[in-house]
Amino acid sequence: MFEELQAIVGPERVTRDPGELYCYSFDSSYVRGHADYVVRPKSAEEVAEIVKVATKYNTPIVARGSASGLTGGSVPVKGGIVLDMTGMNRILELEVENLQAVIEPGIIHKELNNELIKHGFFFPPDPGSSDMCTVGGLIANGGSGMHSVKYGTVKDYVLGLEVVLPSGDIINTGCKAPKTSSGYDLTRLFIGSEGTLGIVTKARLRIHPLPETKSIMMATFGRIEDAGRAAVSVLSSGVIPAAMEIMDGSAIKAVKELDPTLEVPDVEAMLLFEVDGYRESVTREVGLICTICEQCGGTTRVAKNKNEEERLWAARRLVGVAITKLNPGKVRVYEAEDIGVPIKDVPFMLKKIQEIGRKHGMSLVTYGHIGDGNLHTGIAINPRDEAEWKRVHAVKDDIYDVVLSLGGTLPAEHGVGIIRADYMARAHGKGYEVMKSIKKAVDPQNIMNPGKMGM
Amino acid sequence: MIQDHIEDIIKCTRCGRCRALCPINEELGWESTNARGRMLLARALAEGEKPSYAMKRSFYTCLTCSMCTSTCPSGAKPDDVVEDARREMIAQGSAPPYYDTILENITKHGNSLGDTGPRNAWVPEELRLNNGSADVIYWSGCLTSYRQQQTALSNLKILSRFGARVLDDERCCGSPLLRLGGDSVALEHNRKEIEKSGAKTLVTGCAGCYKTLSESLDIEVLHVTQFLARHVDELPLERLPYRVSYHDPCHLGRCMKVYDEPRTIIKRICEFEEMATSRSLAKCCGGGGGVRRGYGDLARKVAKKRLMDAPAGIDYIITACPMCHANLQDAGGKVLDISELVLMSMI
Repeated sequence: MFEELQAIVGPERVTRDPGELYCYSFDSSYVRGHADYVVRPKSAEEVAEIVKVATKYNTPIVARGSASGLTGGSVPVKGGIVLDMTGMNRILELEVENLQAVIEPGIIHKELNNELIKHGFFFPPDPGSSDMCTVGGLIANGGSGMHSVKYGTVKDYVLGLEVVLPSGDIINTGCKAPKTSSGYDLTRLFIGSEGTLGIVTKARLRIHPLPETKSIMMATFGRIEDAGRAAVSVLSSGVIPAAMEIMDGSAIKAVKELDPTLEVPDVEAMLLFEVDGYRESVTREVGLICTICEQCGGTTRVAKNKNEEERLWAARRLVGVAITKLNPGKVRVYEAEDIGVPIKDVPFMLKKIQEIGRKHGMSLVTYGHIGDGNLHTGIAINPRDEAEWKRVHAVKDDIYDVVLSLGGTLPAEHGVGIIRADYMARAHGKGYEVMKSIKKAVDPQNIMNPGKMGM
Repeated sequence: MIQDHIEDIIKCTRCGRCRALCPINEELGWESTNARGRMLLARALAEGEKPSYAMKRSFYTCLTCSMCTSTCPSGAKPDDVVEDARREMIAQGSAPPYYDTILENITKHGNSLGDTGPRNAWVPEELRLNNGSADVIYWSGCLTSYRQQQTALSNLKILSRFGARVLDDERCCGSPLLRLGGDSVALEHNRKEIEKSGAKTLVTGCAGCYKTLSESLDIEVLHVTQFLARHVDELPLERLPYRVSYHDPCHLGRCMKVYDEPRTIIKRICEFEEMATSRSLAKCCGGGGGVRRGYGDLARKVAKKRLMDAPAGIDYIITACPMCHANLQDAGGKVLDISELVLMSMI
């Protein structure tokens, strides 16, 4: 197989060196696999040929971008070929007049936006991993970010895909028109499929004009319920903030400890808003948000300049970092950290998470995108301590029970991968059987990223 | 031992932020050739994996530029880990051939380059120490002494106004070996020489020497930009009609946090414009960590990219490290050492 792979991409872009394979056997989670070969394709045609080899030898094939995923999604748990897609990183077409761009999947999210900004546009889904994640990975995981409350998730921005199927056939989904009602929505089927059905080699994306201006503001609350009430009231008022983030007392405490100069008040909850659009409407909407938050018992502060804006956002950005930095000898593990619940239930969920943490003697730092009900739960442990892992899993089970009872979702933006695969049947019921039927129909040999999503 | 770094290795959450910033990863693209990959391979080494081709390439293509360490959200220190991984590689007999050459060069000839000529050949007779004493010693370093004597002379001419002299028998500070995971073989000799000179302050124009000597000597060690910024009002500087930019050497900037002093001096002399990435985010010239020695083509590719960060139409890129100077110049850059600029302004 090695010689056949070399024949496709040349000897320089395929390896079976044990050191290299070791590096390609991880992502950001604690799932570990063992790659047998790594190949770095440059074109869809090469991908198709490589997939044919995998099919011929009945060998697993796992596409991988930056492997910044948190669920083991790109870890070759069943061995086989790892396809490093980062060499396919070009913007192939930029059609500003059509509000569209065609890209290869290996392009880094931030680099895409750096290019689009030059033309007065941007690609709105904005993961925290923008600096390093690939757009292909974002598509594979159905990702999003802080601005999804106004702009939606990646699902809302992909018009069409080029996909290599397990047979080696290259298909195109969707179309160039802004909308279609033609047949099954294969584009959306592949988005969030985590490479279990095929490998995306090209994507046609909707792009959005840059807003004229934006404003950042913070509201602090003595009671977390008031923050929740304020969030629901703002969304019900007709204002759609570009971002609406929440930090609970544990997250605020962590940020204060890590950087006291940010002068974050000692409160039980804070909301962070970003409002963007035309200057006049932003001014009006910020005023309205302040009024609503104050009516709910909050104290508000609007950033007056870029420096203040940066300081407000810094508080939010520091949370994830604080979890590892404040716990010497421990590192953050990504378990039970990406739940989604109905917006009105966010404050309840935040309280519940703390309650569950106390029950298992674990300190949990909670924050997230309240605007779309998505919460992140930071847990730091000594990963070599089996007892701590047991407690983490007990916390996870309890949190997931509550989430499902509220009608929520276990991963709101980070995908299923390995670490949430066992919950798929419970989360989706008979719908999961349909998913499995689709998988079997498209990939009868189960070579496409096997083991993920329980497939 | 690499096992001593296991806490730091585990601190890496493999988020991948470093892979987007690593200039070597940008060129080579393999997962092993970025800081996250290097941390993984250090872990593999600690777990008893035998060094493979990819592992060797991984550790020895690290520029030790510290970009990954300074931006790591978890507070891990990949550049420290790499140096210790290299130490482990040496212990296991997997050092690259140029490591042994450098070691032999320093042991036999006192310099990392293997030059057999006298180190102080460029020093004017009246500025030699000649077994005398001086409060200020100018430390030139191997590269400047043997390859960039114009820079050495510029530095010494300026510093001699403050009584600076050159040691009679300066030998390699140890930086090239330390960065490759070895030991500083001439440290004790240099210590004795410095003690004999009675120096209170040691000034060097080399970023690598500055980092290494600051970390190993007990007397005051300054980079020439720090010394000159302190005395800038005492220098007869005239404005020059140049528009220049400044390349922050990694071992002076990110590693030692010397950012303002070079800018203070340059702005006194000519029009200044920052490069596209500067200060703590300045990209590496590509020459550090033994990469210029072991992977010359790769070093030049990184340097070429760095040159693209320079503003359009500038007259010179100024730097404050002979390694950066050499590497950027080899890649086609019009480069001046800061001492040369200062001396031009003084004449």
